[in-house]
Amino acid sequence: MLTTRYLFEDLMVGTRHTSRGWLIMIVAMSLWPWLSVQAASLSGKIDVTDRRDRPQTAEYMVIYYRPDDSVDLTEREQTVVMQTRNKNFEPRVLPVTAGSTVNFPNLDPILHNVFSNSGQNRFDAGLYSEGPGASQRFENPGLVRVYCNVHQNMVGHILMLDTPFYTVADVTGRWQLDNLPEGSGTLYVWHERAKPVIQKQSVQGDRQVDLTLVLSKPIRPAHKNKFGKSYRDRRGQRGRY
Amino acid sequence: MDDTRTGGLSLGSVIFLVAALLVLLAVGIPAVINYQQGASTAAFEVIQALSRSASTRSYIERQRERELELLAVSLATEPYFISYVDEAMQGSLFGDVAISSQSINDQLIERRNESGFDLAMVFDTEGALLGHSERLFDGEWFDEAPQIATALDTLTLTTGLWQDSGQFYQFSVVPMDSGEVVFALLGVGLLIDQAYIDEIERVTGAEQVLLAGDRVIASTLPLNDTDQLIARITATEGGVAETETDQRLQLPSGEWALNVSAFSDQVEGLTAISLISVDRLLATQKAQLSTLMFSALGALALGLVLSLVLARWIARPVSRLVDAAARASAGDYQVHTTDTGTREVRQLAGSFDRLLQDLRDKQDMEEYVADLSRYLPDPTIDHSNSASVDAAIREPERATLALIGLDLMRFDQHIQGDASQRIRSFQGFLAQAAEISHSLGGRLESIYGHRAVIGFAGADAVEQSLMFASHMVSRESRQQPSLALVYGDVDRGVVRAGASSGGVVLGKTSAQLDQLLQDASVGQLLMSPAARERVTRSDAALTLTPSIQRGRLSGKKYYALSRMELAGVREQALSAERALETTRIDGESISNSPGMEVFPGDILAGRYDLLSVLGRGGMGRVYKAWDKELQDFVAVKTLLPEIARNTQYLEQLKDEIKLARKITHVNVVRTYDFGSFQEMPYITMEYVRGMTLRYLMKQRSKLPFSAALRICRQVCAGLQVAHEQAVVHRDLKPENVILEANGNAKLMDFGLAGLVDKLTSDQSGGMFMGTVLYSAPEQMTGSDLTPAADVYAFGVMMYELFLGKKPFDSSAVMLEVYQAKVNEQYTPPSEHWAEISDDLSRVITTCLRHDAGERFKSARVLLNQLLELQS
Repeated sequence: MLTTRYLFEDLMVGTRHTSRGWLIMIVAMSLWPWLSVQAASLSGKIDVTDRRDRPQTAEYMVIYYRPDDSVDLTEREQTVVMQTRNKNFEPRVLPVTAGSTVNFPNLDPILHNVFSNSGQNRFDAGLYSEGPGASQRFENPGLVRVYCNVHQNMVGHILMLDTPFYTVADVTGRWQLDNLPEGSGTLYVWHERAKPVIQKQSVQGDRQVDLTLVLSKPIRPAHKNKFGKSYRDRRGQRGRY
Repeated sequence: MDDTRTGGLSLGSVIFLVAALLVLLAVGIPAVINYQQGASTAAFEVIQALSRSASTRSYIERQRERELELLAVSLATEPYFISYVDEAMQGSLFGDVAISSQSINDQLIERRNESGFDLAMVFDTEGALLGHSERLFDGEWFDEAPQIATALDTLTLTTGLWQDSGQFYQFSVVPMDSGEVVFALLGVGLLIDQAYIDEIERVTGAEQVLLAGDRVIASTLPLNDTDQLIARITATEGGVAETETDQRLQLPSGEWALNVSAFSDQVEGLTAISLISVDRLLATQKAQLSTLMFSALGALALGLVLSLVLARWIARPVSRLVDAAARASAGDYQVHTTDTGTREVRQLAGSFDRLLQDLRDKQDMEEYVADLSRYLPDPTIDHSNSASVDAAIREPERATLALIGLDLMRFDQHIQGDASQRIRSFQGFLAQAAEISHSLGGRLESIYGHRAVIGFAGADAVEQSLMFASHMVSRESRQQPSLALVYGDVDRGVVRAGASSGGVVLGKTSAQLDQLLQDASVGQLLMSPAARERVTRSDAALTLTPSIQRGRLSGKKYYALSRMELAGVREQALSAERALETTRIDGESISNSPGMEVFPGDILAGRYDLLSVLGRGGMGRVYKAWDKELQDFVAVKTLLPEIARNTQYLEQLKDEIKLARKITHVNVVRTYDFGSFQEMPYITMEYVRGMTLRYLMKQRSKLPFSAALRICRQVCAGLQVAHEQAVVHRDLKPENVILEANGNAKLMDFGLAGLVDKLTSDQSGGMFMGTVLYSAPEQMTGSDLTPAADVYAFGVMMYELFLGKKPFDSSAVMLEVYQAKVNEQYTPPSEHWAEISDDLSRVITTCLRHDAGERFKSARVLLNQLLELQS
């Protein structure tokens, strides 16, 4: 029940942010069409498996493409939101261009903290109660893992990308990157449970790239206490002491 | 003594054995039970202690595991740590993963130092080692390690045994996740080392040895014990086996109980051995047990000694009694028993003493009576079963006698059976003949063959002879004798030839008797001329005319009387006696009115065959008689006809008899019945052979003390029974005490005295005519009598018996005697007998108090006093 609701909410939130992302991207692309030497696109489907090759589904697969030629991101700074609600960071995964500012409003009636140890993007917003909360500008590209130091289970992944070409696959694993500059570059697929898939690509016209992602990191089983053991077991054992 | 009774164990041995057995059981059983309980308790204690230590160890291990898990989990869920490790693992978004093991190692060392665990490791989700707190590493994989594989598989906390660098750890592996995505495994370990084992030993109290296979990880045992233990265990088939039960093992330092188990539920590969020193555990118990055994042995020894003492204490007086009894049974009555021992033994000894005393007295008495009996006069000697001629008291003399001979030559014709029956029957005949002759003043002179000769002396010798003959033929018997009567001078005496002796009558007259007896027919009496002359002389009392008959054998002519004529003699005698009014009471006539008289040979009331006159008294005569109904001898006492004529007297007499009949005692002559025959009342009583105490006292003025005391006690016992039946004797005196041949004294004539008093005082105008000497003062004044009157009479009798003198002069005028009694003027006993004991003297003088209230109240009190006197 809990899982179902969680996934549902997660899905809903993700969808909303994803549509906003799309909007931003479309506006940006329409504003600076001259920057692209020639528009090309990459699309494909990601087959997700576990380590034993069993097919899986996965959310928040972030696909981004970094052309070998650098891209100027100075005008692409944004302000995005990663809110804390129901002891979760929403969205759980947030790809954004580097230099963007992330607001961390607290929608829960309890104290939350937001911190990260991720390299140069490390920060600690301290504890704050319900309200607009902290906001942090991340200058450096890289993965920013955001934690709450009072809620061990809360984690958010902010992908500070040094490229504007990124997208999130849908639940079936389909994705598409448009308006890519032709030329060589590197295609990344990131998922928090998998080692990133990194592939050199030569982008020209519309190319289909089918990829396989192996979810190497398992999900902690549900209905376990923080020891990872069944509540029932622990209760049962307690009587022995 | 009977031999079969002398075998077997002595009383002392039996008491000792039983007491010893009881002591043995009483001490031994609890000791054995205690010992066994102690042993089983000890064994149980060993198991308990082992079990306790195992539980405690298990508890400690679990606590430690829990502590470890807590450490692992709290570390694995600590956001900063997660963030740090995650960060160290993930590297950059845009390049190859560059895991900073150095950072992780550093973090693990930091955390180890903070939290106190001994080992921390981080693995990635593939099982690759990413961090190690203790050592350097390079590309190690642990995906095959069971604990890691399990953790990766289940993604749950697992705890187990971890071996690293040759050391063992309790090791918990916990998945680390960020937002439920497991990105690493954290392993945290606590070292299993000597310090840990020491702690367990300290808490559980049991020595601990920890083995990995047969390798010792840690041990709290001394080194050589540990080595020995390992040697033993490895020598066992199958190596170390887990066991819950109590195992014992002998090690250099002593005996140990051990318990082998896996180190913990979750840690396999390590074997934990708990050891408890049996010696140390049981030391207290052994000390208690040995104390118990020593005290039990001590108690046993003491108990045995006590039972020996007890046995001797009980048995010694008893064996003394046994000796005394054995000597007494052998005839020695001069034994004195002990007064030591228990109350029962003392009582027994006392009773035995009294019994012996009684036997001594009885022996004395029997000797005394036997001695005296030689002087007994004829009437008091019982001839009923003895027809022998009393030779001892017969002095040879020349006398003019009427001799009557009896010949039972055809006696055996009528007797069935063997010789002894015939002899007994003959003896019975002679006994009867002797009785009748005695009653008529004659005596048995001689017995020879089937003949007996009876002699009568005196003026009426021939008449008495004929009376005797009349009695003999009147008997309703088929055994009729032939008879002969002679008269003349004979020499009579006793001859002895060897061991036998016999009375003889010598002389011509005696020869005549033989001649006549030969010619006499059965039932016929032949008499000599001299005898006939006496019969037919003018002043003869009898009117008889002997006829002349021819002799049976010789055919000579003799004066003869037929059986019928002889039978008529008694009739003549009876009528003559009535005419002569010859009733005498102690030589003094008190009655002029002749009543119905009976004589030996008469059958009273168709029942009592009067055999002889035993005595004559104030009331009438006393006969010995044969009760044909009961087939027993009885004494018949005829009473004065005046009593029968006076209804008041008769009723009083009947009342007295009724009471007297109730008295049944060995020291009382039993009163049987009251009857009346032709206006003559009579009483039947128990027939007693013996002599009166008066007779005895005449022979010996003073009796031996023990004999006198014995007689007194017996008489008093009889008197006591009477008093308890509310019967007062009223006429207690030596004449009324009969001594049997065995020395037993019997009191007689209960209840009759009062009647005599009444009768005589009525006749003498209110004057007291009783036995002056013995009567109490109040009896002499005619007051109502109580048992105390008998006590007074008893006192007078005792005075006489013990001192041989009368306290008062019986020949004095009655008034003087009365005054002497009232003033208690008698010679103090001690003047007659200087050695008299104060007690006896007091008893006698108390009896002789003139005031009835000051005497002993009854014979019971008196008897108690007499019994307390030392004989």
